Amino acid sequence: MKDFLELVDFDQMPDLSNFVNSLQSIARATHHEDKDEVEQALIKRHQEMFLADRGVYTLLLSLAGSENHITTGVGLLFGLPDEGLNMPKSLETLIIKDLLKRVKITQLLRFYVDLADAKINNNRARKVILRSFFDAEEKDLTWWAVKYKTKLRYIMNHFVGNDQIGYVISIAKRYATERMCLPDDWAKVARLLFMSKEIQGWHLETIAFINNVNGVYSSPLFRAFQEAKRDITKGASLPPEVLEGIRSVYHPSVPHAEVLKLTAKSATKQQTVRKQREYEKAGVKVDANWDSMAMHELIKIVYEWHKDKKPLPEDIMTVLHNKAKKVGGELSFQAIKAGILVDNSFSGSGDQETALNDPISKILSLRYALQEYFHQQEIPFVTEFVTQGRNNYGLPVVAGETDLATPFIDLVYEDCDVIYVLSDGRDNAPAGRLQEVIGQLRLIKKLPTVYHFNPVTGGESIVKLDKDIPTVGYAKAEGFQRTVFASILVAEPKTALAQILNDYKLLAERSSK
Amino acid sequence: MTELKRFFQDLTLGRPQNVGPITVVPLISDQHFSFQKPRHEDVSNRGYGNLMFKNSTPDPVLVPAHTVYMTKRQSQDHATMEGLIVKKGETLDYCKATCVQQSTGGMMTGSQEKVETTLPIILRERAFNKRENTGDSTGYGRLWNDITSYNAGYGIRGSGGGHYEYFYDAFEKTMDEFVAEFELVYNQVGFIVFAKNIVYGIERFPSPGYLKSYYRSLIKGCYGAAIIDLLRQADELQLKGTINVPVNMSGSVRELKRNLARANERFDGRVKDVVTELIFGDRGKFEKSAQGHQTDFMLFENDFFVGNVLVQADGYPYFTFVAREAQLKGVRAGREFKI
Repeated sequence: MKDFLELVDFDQMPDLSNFVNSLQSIARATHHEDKDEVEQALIKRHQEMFLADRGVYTLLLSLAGSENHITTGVGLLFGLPDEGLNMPKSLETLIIKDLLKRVKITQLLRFYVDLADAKINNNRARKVILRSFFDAEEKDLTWWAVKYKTKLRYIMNHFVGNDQIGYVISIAKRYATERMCLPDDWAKVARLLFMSKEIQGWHLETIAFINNVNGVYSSPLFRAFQEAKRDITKGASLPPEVLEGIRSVYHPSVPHAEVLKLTAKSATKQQTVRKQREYEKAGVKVDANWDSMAMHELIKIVYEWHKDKKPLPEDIMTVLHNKAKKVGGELSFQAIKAGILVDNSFSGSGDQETALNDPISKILSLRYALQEYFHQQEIPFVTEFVTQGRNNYGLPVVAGETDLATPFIDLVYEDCDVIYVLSDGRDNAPAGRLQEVIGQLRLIKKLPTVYHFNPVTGGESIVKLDKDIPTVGYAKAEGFQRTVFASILVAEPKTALAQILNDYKLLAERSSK
Repeated sequence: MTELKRFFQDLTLGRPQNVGPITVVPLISDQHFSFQKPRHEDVSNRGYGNLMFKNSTPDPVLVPAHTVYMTKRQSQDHATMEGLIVKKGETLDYCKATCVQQSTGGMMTGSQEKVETTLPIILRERAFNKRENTGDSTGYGRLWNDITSYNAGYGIRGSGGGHYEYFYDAFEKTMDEFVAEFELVYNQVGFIVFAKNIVYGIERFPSPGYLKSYYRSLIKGCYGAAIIDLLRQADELQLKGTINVPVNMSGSVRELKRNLARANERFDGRVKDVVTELIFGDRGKFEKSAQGHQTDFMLFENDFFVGNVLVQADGYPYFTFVAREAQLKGVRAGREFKI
């Protein structure tokens, strides 16, 4: 493994800095670019790095800040199983599996459907994908089966393959209807599904269920699905949208609000947040568990609820604070006195349709984490804002032009030896003023160490404050140290990549044990 | 005679923002009027040259002058020729609209997905001059020749003549980048756009919320088109800030802080002086005025601007003044109008 990195000529590689920065981007519209442009640029960058060196590319994927990068990267690795392979295939497979664990099920299913549409079906892809479902816990697999029935069927049919899928379904059907299965069939189905765990009856039930077999199920969710067609109250454990589908076909006279009431407990946090208005209208009280949401998602909710003049949930700020403490605890920066410059100008409100308040929420999440870190390390710090004013939930207003130079010089004047600029980097009042000020500070040798952390990282090159100031793009505050690690990688690529490689070697050892 | 300053009684100038050759000065007011923008599902037409606006909002609706509704080739794209209002609960049947997509047929329905934008600045004066429907068979196509020649000026040779969307499609990315550079400030209800000492336009809307909802359509479609013109002339114009006020060289942080504040103050002050002179001097005086399609609107014109103003008992919730083509050609030719 060491040899593989030793052989890499980093001078001949595409710009690692740009690629690592772009790995933090979310491929969706920003205030500055539309979604298609961002996506196309992203794919092009992946292809370039993949073609330059497959091993380096695979290791770099571990620094991906968003799911889009993981699926784009794994798609390339799956689609070209042997092209330029320069690390042991088993290690690459281990990295792929580790990466896929970071992708949410909805996006994972979309990704697998895309692979099936692209007719990708090699042995490794089959094994990794089928195992990711059939080695899962019963509660997860049966939940996915009722929620994503059609997609799961499509994926399974494709990756089991046309020549065997008929056999697998017939065995599952027989089990679900007659409770019969010969030991040889039992074992063969497990082999065809690449299962590493022992096959159970609910595995066969799941296959039967997603293939619309009207069987006698023992799994509570499958039973609820069947019984809800006769009596809607039996479907309380189903996902809201699944029960709503049953209601609209089998119980059209029952109001939609009834479904919301019945399924309030089974609704996911995201559903309760997204459909808050609907739940309120239906008179349903739902408890949202904020713990699994990223800091910037929580901040976005606070901005949205402020706009809607809704009361701020009591626990959300506590959760946010606890998260900031945790993320802050993972950071590592050195300063005698730190300065944080928060760009809360109007462009922080992001794309009005697809990513409202996305940049400002990311800026604030990192700001809270940095502040917590400085508290924990007892490093004094000062925070300056581009626009003054807060809303009555305590969040900075998002408005106004971008004058970065004035708050920046205030931080320098306060003797901050390190300044963290959290901004999309577009200075417009007047344009280029900050660069002018940085130039003068450099001339009089009074320029502190400056880091620019930019949350707007489309497919195009990231906007920088100054050519000599490091700009690091990031997708969220969580895992930010990994992002910073990415910037170390740019300076010392071999050392940093060897560290990633070593982490995976340890993971491989643990897995084999 | 009417002077522009009459419409500025409740307005103050915000801090200028600039990128490349264009400077935008926010117009700020705490006097807000409760007009809403038309909902896209309430916009349709019943024939060529017609636009129907239903008001399903709890307030009166304002349709800004020269708004273009595009439907991605599902039906013929149309534009308004002047400002309009639709009273609460009513439907306006506006018969002086123009087609901006010559060889596409079909009626616009409420359910069709629409892109809302504004005519490019040069076409706005032509639209002002052709606001009346001449009544002959091509009345609804009275902008086709203008659009064709406008597109040809940019080397766009789409078949079928007067297709505004050819220009929009060709330059959308540049216009998007341009609009992203400018940001709204607190209580902003409008803005002044100028480049090379020429005021391109002055826009005022009923409220900050209204402006926010229409800002992108207007600054992208109308003034974004102007930046394309300026970029094409880049060598001649030397793209840089319109008014360049550098920070004086400083020997210490304290001095730099002071010099920065002074430079910003000078920059803001000079921009405001230039703008004030441009709009409150002779250029802001109008001998000619007329009534608009609706009695609530007045139309103004002089050698420099054409304008459309919504007049209400308690003020002027909406106005738009755009530079005449001859003014912009002066900029294109590299001639500056020194004050």
